[in-house]
Parts: sequence; structure tokens; C-alpha cells
Amino acid sequence: MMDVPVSWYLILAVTLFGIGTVGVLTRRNLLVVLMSLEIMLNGVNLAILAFARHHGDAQGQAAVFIVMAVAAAEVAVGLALAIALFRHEGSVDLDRATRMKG
Amino acid sequence: MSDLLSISPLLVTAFTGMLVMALDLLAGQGRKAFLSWVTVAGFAVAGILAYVLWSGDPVVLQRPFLANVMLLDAHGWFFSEVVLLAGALAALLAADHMPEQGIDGGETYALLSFSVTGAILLMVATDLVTLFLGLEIMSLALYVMAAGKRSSPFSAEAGIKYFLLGGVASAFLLMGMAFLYGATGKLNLVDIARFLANHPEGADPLLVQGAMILLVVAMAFKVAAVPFHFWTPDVYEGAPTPVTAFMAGAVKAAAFAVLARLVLTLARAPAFQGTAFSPADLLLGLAVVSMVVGNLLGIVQTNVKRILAYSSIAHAGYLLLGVWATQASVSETGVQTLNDSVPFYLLAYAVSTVGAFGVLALLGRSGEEDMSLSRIAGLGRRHPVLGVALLVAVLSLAGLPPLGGFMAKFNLFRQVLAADPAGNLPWVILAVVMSVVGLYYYLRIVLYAFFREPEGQPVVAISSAAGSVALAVTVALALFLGIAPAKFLDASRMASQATVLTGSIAASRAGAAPVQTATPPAAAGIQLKPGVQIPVRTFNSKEGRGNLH
Amino acid sequence: MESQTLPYIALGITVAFSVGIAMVILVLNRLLGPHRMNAEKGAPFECGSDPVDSPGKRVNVRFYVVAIFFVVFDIEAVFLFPWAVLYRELLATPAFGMLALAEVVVFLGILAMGLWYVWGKGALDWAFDAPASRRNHG
Repeated sequence: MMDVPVSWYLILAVTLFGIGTVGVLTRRNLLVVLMSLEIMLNGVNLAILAFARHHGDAQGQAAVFIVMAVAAAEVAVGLALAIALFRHEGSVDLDRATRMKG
Repeated sequence: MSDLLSISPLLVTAFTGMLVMALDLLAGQGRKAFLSWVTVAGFAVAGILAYVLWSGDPVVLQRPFLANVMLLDAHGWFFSEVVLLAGALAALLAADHMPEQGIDGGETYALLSFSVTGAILLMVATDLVTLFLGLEIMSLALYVMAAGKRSSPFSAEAGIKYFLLGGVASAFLLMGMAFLYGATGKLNLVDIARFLANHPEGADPLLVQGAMILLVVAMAFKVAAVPFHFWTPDVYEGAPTPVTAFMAGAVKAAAFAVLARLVLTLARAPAFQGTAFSPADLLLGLAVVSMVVGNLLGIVQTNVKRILAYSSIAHAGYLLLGVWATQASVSETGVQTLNDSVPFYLLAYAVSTVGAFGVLALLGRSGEEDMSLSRIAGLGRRHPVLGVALLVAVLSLAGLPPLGGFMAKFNLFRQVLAADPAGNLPWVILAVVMSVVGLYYYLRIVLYAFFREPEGQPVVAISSAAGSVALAVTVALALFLGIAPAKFLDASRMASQATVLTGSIAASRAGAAPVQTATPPAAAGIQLKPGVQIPVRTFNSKEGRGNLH
Repeated sequence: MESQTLPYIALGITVAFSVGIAMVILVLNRLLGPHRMNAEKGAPFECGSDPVDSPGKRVNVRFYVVAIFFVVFDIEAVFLFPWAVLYRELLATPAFGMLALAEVVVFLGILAMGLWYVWGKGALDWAFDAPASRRNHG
């Protein structure tokens, strides 16, 4: 089996992270933004796992478990907030969430 | 068992949250105010335990899997007390504010307890994953609390904005941690700092520098520093006012505690020497723009909550200046420690800002959310007690003697100057000028509260015994910190000496740690004790690959 | 060579078994079950949503609530799995010992507390006629 160098994983991880960041910053649908946030976190997870393998260290794998659990909790909060927004605005479009300015 | 005792402040706050949840289910509808006192009692117990257990020499936990993730020292103690104080005051303020605003309230106290637990965990963590966990426990509870007023679209909007920007900040922080892990192969902050210092060639400088930028950006989000401040005014305005008070007081303290610890511990790394930028430059840049933008934009605001939000941004600027200007340690040679007065500043700021938001929390009948300046007009005449509390809090924020805010600012600027008299002079002058600019909007609040007559319907105060207690505490503390700050400044010095993690400090103090450890930890410091094997299967050795049983 | 093909044989047996059992169940169902056909039964999904529908249709918000609870409680299994794999070794390690059990009991206790809270708040009430006093969730 051929070994994939850690830099390739890192490039993919950073790319995922970048896609997620751009998604969070540019998309207007809250659900899509939530997904973008998840992509960011998964990019990080990939980076941590690649480094864990690179260093031959199990700590990184444990860290990823915790990050996954935290990400799930974050999604739960995000969905709850999406429902709250929907109840007030009738949509999950973030452009509606601009009552406060300045 | 002694480990459990050592971390008991954390356990107490977490248990308080669960107790409040249980009592919330058992209590009748609309009878949730007593939960506020339960929360305060829990925080008080946690605060006393933290004082007894953590305020002396650093406590090194016995069990290896705990020893590696937390260090219970004066840093954690001081900032925990600030967070617990702000949390308790917020709980008291919520007792009558929440029912008046039609918020059921039971979950607020539970979330507050969990948020405080997360903040403490964040501040005592030495392991990056634990640190992240603490940050997320603190933040996730806060997102929900910010959106806690379900009848208000402003509250929902505040929650969503805070959640999205906070989520991005967390992801940045995590990516920074991943880079650090990649560069060093370690997740413990002390180990990472030691590795970076001892094996400068072993760590990819690009990774380390990238990590530092990501960490600083993430923490700049959390402390509301310009240009990562956009969420602050909206979230402060939209969130229920007691929650805003907690955000401004406690979260800022926690975020600054961890920012200082992370950045200053790592900044010694050779990877930053001789490069185009250093972490210090980043901090200075953020400090300068925060001071300028926070104060200038504060001037044009008409909503009191938003004014206080920009005040919070400006204070983040002063504090960043304090974190940036490290000073030579008194106990160690060659190690720069956190500026002595930064912890004190955070305490004084927390007291003042909770006081200011506290007055706003006690204003406004059901459904009245508008806190524009014209609505507080005449407050001093109609509600003199609230007026005086607001006056003390706002003048303390402005930094006028004889209040805590003045003592904090004076000491901070003095010590920034002392760190490098010639080099830092321009920045201190800028900070002083910006403080004077900031006076304008602070005095505008006072002007409206005392010297303007209300136009139309004046805002009505709600009667709240718990809230009055909270305000009395903030006023008393603001005065006390200004007049007799010696004890607090000493504590602040202790905390700041412990902020920067160095393996040698941890090791030398651990020898005198009050908790008896099974093996003498003198040499190991807070590292994992040698000889204790934790069964961990690695799946990445050649023979084990793909063979997961 | 043998050590390399052996896992594939095991895999093949597993696949054969699962396909076989599925077949047996289908055949038994056909032979033994009563057949009373109607439109509802003929639908691809007997319960839940209509398979042919407008994509823009709104899903009841309570599905989201259930989804949220599922996400939260589901992910906790992630922590139980490595714990279960290492449980015996942890028990034998002096640094952990019975702590390995106690930790998980506390962990599950906290989860149970959360479940109780969700239940008590009425967030699990699916029916429309839940008492109004308990429908203050979400």
C-alpha cells in the first residue's frame, strides 16, 4: 500500500476549511451556513487525524472524537436557532436577520 | 479522591446547573425566581472552594490523565472568581428581569451554570483539547442564552449572529490547534512550548506561525477586538440584558485569560524570531484599532446597550495593549510574564459593566426592549438609586477616580509604560487620548440620566430585591476597588505571574504543592508521570495498520 | 497467501448469510402473512412522507426537534465505543481501576438527566393534544 504524504492530507484539510469559511461568509441560507461550518470542522478533523498518523500518536484521534461531539452539539444549537429564526421571520434566510444595525 | 477535591469548583458549578435543571422541572410555572438564588449559592460555594484550593501554589493533579490537562493555579483562581462573580450577579439580575420580559427563566440559570463551568475549565486547561472543550461549553450555553427571549426577533437574531461568528471563531481556534499539533506532535500547551523552545528545527515555522495567527484571530473574536467585533453591538443589544451583562463581564475575562495564556506561552518560540511579524505585533495592531474604532463608533450610538458594547470593544483594546506589553518576571529570569494589572483590570471592568447593564436590566416593563438614550432621560430623578448605580458604573467604565475603573486603567497604562518607557510611550498616549474621547459617550449617558427631561413615555423600573442586591454589590466593589485596591492588586500580581506557562515554574512550584502526590513531581513538572502506562492502542504502527480486530 | 484470502472468505460468508436471511424472511412473509391490500399499504413508505411530492414542501417543525435530539444523543455513543473496547484493560490499570466504570456511569447519568429534562419540558410530546402547560418548548 502506498503511503500518502501528510502534506496532501493537509492541503485537502485546508481546502475544506477554506470552502467552509467562504460558505459561511457568503451563503445566506442559515442551513447552508450550518453545513459550511460543519465542513470547516471536518477539515480540521482531517488535519488532526493526518497529523496523528504522521506523529504516530493516539491523542489526536481522541481529540477528533471530542471535536465531533462538540460539532454535533453545535449543530443542535444551530438548528434550534434556525427554528427560532423561522418562527419570527418565516424563513431561514439570513438577510432577514438584520433588524439591528450600526 | 484528592483529584476530585482539587477540581471541586468545576464540579460544583456543573452540579449546580444540573440541580437547577431538576428543580426547574419540579417547580411550578412562573415560580423560577428562587432558582436564581440556588445558582448564586452554587457559585458562592465554588468561589470559596476555588479560593481555598487554588489560590496558593499550583495544584498538580495526581492522576496522569488529569495532571496533563489542567493546572490549578493562581491564574485559574483569580479569573474563576471574576467569572463566578459576574455569573452570580447576572443570575441575581435575571431573577426579576426574566419573568417581567416573559422568559420562563428556568433554563437560563442552568445554562448560566454550564457557561461558568465551561469558562473555568477553559481557564485552568493546559491541554488544547480541554481548552477547546471549555470554550465550547461556555459558548454553546451562551448562544442559547442570547436567543433566550423567544418572543423577540431581536433575541433570535442576536443568538444567530453570536452563534455563527462564534462557530467560525471556534473553527479557527481548532485549526490553529491542529497546526500546533502537526508542528509538535503534542496537545499539551506546556509540552508544545517546551518542544518549540528546545527543538526549533523540529517544528515547521510556517505551521507554527499559521497556528498563532489562527489562535489570535479566534480569540480576537471572543474578546470582541476590532476587526472581529461586528457581532458585539448586535448581540449585546438583542440578548436579554442580564445575559449581556454576563457576556460583557465574564466571557471577556475568560477569553482574555486564555488569550494571554496561549499567546504569551507560545510567543517565546524561536519560530517567531526574525520573522516579518510576531504575535506581539498582531496584539498591538488589534489593540490600537480596537481602542480607536471602539471609542469613535461609540460616540455615534444612541442606544445605551450599543454604547456599552462599543465601550466593551474599546476596553478590549486597552486590555490587548496590556497583554502585549509583557514585563520581566520577578521570579524567573528571561521569562516575560503577563502585565500585573491585566487581571485587576478585568475584575474592575467586569464589576463596572455588570453594574451598567444591571441598571438597564431593571428598567423596562414587559416587552419594552428599546434602551435608547432618550428613554433613560430623567432616570436620576425618578429612580435615584438606579441612577446612582448607573452613575458609578459608567464613571468607573470611563476611568474616573475614585472608582475601580480608574485604578485599573491607571495601573495598566503605568505598567505598559514601565515595560518599555521609550517604545511604549506613543501607544500609552494614544490610549489616554482615546479614553478621553470615550468620556464623551459615557458622560452622555450621565447627562441623559440626570439632566434631561424624558420626552413621551419614560421608562419604568421594575422592583427587584435580587437585582438591588446585585447592583449594591457592583457599586460597593467599584468603590472599593478604587479606594482600597491593594489586596486585589496583590492577587492580580499572583495571577499574572502564573499566566505564562513555563515548564520550569510548574516544576519548581510543584515541589511545594499542598496536594501530596504519589511520586515526587519535582522533575516531571506537570508532564505525564513516567512509568504510568495508559493503555492506548495506536492504529498507525506498520504492523497494526488496517488490522483493527 | 492464506492469511490474505481468509478475511475475504469470512466476508463472503457474512454476505451470503445476510442475503440468505433476508430471502428467508421475504419468503416466509409471503407464505405466512395475511394479504389485505389497500392504497396506504401499497405506498413505498407506509408511514412518513409522500414519495412523490413538491420539493419545496415544508416539513413539520417537530421533525427538526426530533432531529436535534437525535444528533445530540446519537453522538454520545462515540464515547462509549472506545470505552467499551478498552474496558477490560482500563480495569486492570492501576491509574484507572473502577474509575473506568464510575466515569461512564456519571457520563450516562448526565445524559439521563438531559433526557429527563427534555421529557419533562414536553419536547418529546408528539401528539397535538399535549397539555398546553407543557408545550412551552422549542
